[in-house]
Amino acid sequence: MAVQTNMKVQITRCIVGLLLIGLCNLGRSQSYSNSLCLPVGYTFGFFNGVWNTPRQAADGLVALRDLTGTSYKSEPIQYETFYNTTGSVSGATGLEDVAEVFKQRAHEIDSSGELESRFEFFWESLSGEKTFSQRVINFYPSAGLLFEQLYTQITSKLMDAIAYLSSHPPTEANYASHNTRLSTLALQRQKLILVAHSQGNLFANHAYDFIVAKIGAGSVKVVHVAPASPTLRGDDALAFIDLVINGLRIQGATSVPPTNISVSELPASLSDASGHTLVGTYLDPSRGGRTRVKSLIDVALDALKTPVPSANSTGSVGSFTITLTWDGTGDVDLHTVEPNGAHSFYGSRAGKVGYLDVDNIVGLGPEHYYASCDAAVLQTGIYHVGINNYARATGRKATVQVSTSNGGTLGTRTLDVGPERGSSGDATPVQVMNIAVSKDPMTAKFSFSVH
Amino acid sequence: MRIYQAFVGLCVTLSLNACGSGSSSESPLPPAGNNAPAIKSAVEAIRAADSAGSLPKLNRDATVAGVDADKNGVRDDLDAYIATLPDTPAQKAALVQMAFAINNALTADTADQSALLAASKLIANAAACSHARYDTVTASKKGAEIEKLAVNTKTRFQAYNKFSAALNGTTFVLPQGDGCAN
Repeated sequence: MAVQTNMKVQITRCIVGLLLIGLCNLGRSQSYSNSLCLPVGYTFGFFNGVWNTPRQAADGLVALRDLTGTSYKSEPIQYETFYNTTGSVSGATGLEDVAEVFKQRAHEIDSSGELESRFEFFWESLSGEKTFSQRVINFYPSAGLLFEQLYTQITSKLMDAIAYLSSHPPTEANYASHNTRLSTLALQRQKLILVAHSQGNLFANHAYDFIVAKIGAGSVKVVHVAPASPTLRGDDALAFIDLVINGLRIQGATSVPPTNISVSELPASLSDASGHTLVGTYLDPSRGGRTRVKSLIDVALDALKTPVPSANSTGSVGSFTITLTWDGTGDVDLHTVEPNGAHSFYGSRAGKVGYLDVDNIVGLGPEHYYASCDAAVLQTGIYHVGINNYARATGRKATVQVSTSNGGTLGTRTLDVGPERGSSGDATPVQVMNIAVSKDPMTAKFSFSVH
Repeated sequence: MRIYQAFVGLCVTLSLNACGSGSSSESPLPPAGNNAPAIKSAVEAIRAADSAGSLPKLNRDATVAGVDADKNGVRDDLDAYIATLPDTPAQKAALVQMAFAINNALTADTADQSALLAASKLIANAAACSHARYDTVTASKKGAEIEKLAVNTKTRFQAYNKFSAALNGTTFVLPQGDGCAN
């Protein structure tokens, strides 16, 4: 075993040496007229707020893109949502409890059951946007106070949820997919700006702490908007009128930063009575919060430096990439078998299409395979992805994630690494997933899917 | 608990009072004639609003998908509602795209990760398209409106909530262009 490990180290050193003189770098230094890859630049990661649906999270990110633009200093900014929900139970979001509150209060307003059956009123009570509610109140003004009580109770539930999440933070397993994605972006030398709203700040703090250890504080910055977190990793914007975050302070369940946007700069508005939503309050063009957030983002972007490459820690962008991480020490290997039969792994890094450009024999990973950005080189067909517990990793959980250059994450699998098998497992790694690459004969456009 | 509930209640009330009556730009009075019977309950108000056309006429059957006779991936009642709006054809197309994306999410197989991520990509594209065809604030409001109309029953809420929970911990990117399908 020691001999095998030593040989592996020697091979690794050889490959690293070749990498350093540029002989093995298939992608980074080459440009293709028909490139399938975006150039290196900035990744704008957005960590959404409490009880955001995926649409609301996407909407917030697009609004931030409207604010920030698609490039900075002539480099592209890629926008990516790091989606998180509020629930404390796997498979739930916590929103079920709020729906029950809605039903109970709606029944008090209307005992016939008609109001509680109309969930568009639930969404209004959650967002504070009252178009349809107001139309009903117009016909029956006496219901106005009851609706206000409904909004108040929902807002209280919102604070409860944030306070609970703060005192019962997600587990490492909840973060695994985000961490692997961050690892991929970091080793591909993307500069990272992480912008968080509301509960998303709890996730952004964890993301920062994870990735800053890998790339340094110069290459990742955080901007906190309406932070629900007791601690900060960057500058923040918190409005005096924010009822949710300031309610948390009064509640005393969790500490939050002091406000720094005055009511004169960001006055209350009926468009968002909570004073808390990202687009309705902090990015509202008619009030001052937007300028403040823009300023914080500009400062963060300006301060960002490209991660400094180091031996065996820099990977190339690919038309698609595969990243392997695991949750402790040991040596787990990534194996990719291309449609042509070429097997890319630590013992034979170069395939016909791609290359294993990052190998890790110590612990945590990452290992990284990238497929060529050249449309003339990329092959259609099935790419088989596997892992092997080479040494000292028994009992670890591995996360394997596939991403494309311009489409983000295609799929993530987390699995046990299996028993230690040394090099005897190289020929029969544990199957993790298949990547199907196809090409439209009419448009010549490639498609990628994970199975 | 009671302290901050009181705080929130007070602040909501103050914020509403500070801005006037608390109503939106709409008239606070119903568009009923003098001879209209007095409305004495919330359900009567809802039905009156329905009759006056103040609330959209929505499908509320027991299914998640609802009725989609033209098979365009959007419930017919949502198609009809969008068609009545004064927005431009390009803007309406963006709203139809959003309705399609949400309906796709409602019916996605949450055990199929590829399907989940494809559904999230459709939503991201639809959000980007809305912002390309409206200003930021209007785009957000329009997206929220389509979402609340599409997820308008408990059954649909439960399906949507399941979809959201399944996406927890994932990432999805915005399209490079405007994301518009049409």
